[in-house]
Amino acid sequence: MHVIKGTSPLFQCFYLGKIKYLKALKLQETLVQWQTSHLNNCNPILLLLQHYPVYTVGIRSSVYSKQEENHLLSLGADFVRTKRGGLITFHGPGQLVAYPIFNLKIVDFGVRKYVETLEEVIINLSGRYGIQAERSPHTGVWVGNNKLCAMGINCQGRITSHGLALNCNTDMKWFSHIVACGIHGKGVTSFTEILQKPVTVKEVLPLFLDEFSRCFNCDMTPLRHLPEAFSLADMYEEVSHNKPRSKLLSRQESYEDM
Amino acid sequence: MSQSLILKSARDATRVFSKIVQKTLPISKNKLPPVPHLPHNVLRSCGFHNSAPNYSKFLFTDSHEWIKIDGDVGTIGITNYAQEQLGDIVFCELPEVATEFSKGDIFATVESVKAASDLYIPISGEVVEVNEKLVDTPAIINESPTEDGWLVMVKLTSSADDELSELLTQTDYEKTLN
Repeated sequence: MHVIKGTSPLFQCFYLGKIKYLKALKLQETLVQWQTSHLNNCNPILLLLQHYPVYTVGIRSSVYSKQEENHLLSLGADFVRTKRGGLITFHGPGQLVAYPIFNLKIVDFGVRKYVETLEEVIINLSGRYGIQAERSPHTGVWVGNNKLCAMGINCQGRITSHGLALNCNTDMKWFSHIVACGIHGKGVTSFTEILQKPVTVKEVLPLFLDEFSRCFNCDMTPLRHLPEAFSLADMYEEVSHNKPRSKLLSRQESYEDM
Repeated sequence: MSQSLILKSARDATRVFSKIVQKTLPISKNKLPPVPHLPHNVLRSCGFHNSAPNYSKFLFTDSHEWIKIDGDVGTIGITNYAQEQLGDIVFCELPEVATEFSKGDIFATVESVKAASDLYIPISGEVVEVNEKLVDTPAIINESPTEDGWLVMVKLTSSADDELSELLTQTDYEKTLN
């Protein structure tokens, strides 16, 4: 687990499959605590996953009333108030969610540069599909007036958590019940919607890892798939002993939840 | 007498108030009441906001917070380097007055570029005032991080001296940025 000076950071990559938002949140909080208590001795972590339908809001939580919360709950989604930046967004199957959890000191970035680099990852990734995506004064990645990828980060003493949500083949109807990210007059979109052909999370994953590695100038472990019933103790085993027990994600395997 | 007074700070207010008390009370000088200490909440309701123009110490943390000491009150904010690294601040979550913190506790959160960043308090103390202007205009932190963009004021504890000795001088802090 030692981070050797002078070498590129090595991100430990895990794919969690479809996971409830609160379970992933608890996991993130634990990982942030580990990173905090092992400041110089902890490899950076990248969690990749999909969520069951959930609406989440950031620290400006008071913007969203109990009434609105109840309305969204009645649609069959969860609703969680979090400590990330950004306003309201939706997560659901077909959306690639990435939570990099690491100390920004490793890449020597401030928060603004970190977010810009995440945007760059998605812009480059979109380019691979021939899509011209761009930044705007509103953080996130846009194709014209429509947001392709939402972002919302938390930074505790330079340890990051939360991250981004990229619409691959998300059911976009869920977004019609909110003003996504609090921005009126703009829409949301997905790879599938833009290209008019299905683009799955499974397909996008290796491209995402490649662009992440390039933009952050880091190495990535092969993607390990944690089973649905994994516990925090399992995660600790994976992360601390660096002897992965989980299955490696390879192209030959097929995963139902993708 | 109807001269208008310009009171620049809480200290001014206390000084003038005590002079008025001394002049108007019909007792000998030997039996003067003690100089009143106006509590910060009273000063705030009179409209006097101490923007700490006077301070005896100006110290820094390596996580880019600063503190100015004026008597037993410390004014705390983030440095210019910190606000540059964060980007345009759109929201600032401050603690309630009277909250007590230990050194190193998270005392505030700022949001910029959809990132919520926690801030760590450089010293133990009880919050006596928060910069309420930041509720409507958090961008003041970007514009004037070490003056108008102050975040909180805390009443120091008995461990203040020890805690302050762990902080960096301006020169030492600036060296860490290079």
